Amino acid sequence: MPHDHFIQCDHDPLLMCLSYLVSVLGSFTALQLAIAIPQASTGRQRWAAIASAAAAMGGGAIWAMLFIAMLACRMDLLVSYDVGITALSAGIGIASCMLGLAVAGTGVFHWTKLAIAGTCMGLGVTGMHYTGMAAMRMAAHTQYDVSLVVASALIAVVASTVALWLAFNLRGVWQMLGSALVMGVAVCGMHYTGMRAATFAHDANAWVAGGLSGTNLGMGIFAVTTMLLAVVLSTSLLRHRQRAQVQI
Amino acid sequence: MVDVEFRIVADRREGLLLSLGQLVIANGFSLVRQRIGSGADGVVLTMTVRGPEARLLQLEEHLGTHAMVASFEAWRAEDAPAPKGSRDPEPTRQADAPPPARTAGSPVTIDLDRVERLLPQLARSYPNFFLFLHALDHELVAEQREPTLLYIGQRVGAWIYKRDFALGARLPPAQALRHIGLPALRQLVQVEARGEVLHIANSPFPHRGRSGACCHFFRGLLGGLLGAAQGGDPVVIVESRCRNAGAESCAFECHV
Repeated sequence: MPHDHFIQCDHDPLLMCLSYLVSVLGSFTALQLAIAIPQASTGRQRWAAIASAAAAMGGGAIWAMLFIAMLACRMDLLVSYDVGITALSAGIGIASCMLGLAVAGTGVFHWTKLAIAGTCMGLGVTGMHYTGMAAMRMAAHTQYDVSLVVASALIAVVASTVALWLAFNLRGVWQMLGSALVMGVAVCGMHYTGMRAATFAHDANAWVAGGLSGTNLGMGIFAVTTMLLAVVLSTSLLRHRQRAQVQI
Repeated sequence: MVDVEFRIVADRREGLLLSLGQLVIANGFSLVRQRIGSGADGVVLTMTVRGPEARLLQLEEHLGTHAMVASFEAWRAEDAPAPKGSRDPEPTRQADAPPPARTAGSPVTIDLDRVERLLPQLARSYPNFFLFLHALDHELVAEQREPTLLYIGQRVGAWIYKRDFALGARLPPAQALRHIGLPALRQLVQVEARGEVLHIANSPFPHRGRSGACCHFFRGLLGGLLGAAQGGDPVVIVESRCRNAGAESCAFECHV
């Protein structure tokens, strides 16, 4: 196959940095909501905490990051995204995060629980990425280097496990910031390794019609990021007030 | 060895005897006899226990903070009161507000009014509240010192936990000691963890003209912190070494 048959993906460094920041913001929001799961006194409160944390993680940290990173990928090719598969990718991320957080937030901490939760979260990040990639509509097809795909999944699982350990086990700054920074590494490390695993080759027969354009995606990302910021702000204000009201 | 009779008032009967029996045994006592019935104020468990006098205070603390215990009274078996009905059931301790350690024959009471006045001051001054504790320590009679400082420590520890450490997973005791006890104490003193033991290098309580281990406040504080972290399950904090007894640092261990 001639070399010019392949499409080069050049990443915009600014958007790459932005994708990491958004994943950290999403992770911070999600983990702040997640660490309240063990405090829930009723089943309803517990599932509400799990669902909101998973939505912030799946929809914010992973989904928004993934699509900013896709926008950062400059290819001389028109790319759009299949709406159904894009929504499915978000669903995979949220569902796997719900499962992971439900396990991590139940009962007394144990390493087995951490391993299960980290694996769920890591595979959720990975599943979301590759489903999101499958949503791409362009005049090209994608091939993967299997060893790098496995490496990307391992990065996601290991870093997610570390992030969950920091969030649930520690207290203070490391719990708040350390966990979010590491979860950001899980999401971005997985994504950019996954992108290294992908090779795009011209394919005139590929389906390119319809789907979400980059502009639409940008608006969606903006909405998600704004919502994350609002949740972070309101959560921190609420926690500050609750802390001040604790009676000795 | 000492025989002590407890009259415990609880809200529910299910699992009460089993739970408190385990607590008694865990504290080094044996159950001599017990009787369970109903009273005007709820389920009443009367039990006589036998064990080392030195651990009686600890047993009382655990009973006072047990989730199923609403209140209890305790007296030496030989001083047991007349059969119930003639007795005014005045609780000596509330489950959610521990202390007054009290046994007939050797009454040790805590001036709760004074303690309750002091606690908000400690909260306002946290973490620089040792002046208040020193003043109190100085004024207390010898018998009151340990239970009072222990109680204040427990209340402060539980408060710090709710305020700063409640969010996150429920941790096993050894991890709770490291991830909650250690950072909480770092706000107050120089402390380091060596294995599963916390060492305080500069406790402000030793060398104040007394003998033996004297960091009752820190024992209570760790008990309050880690007890809250265990969801109210009893936690025993032992000061295994104290600078007041010639050690290089004051060492605290957690036992469940």
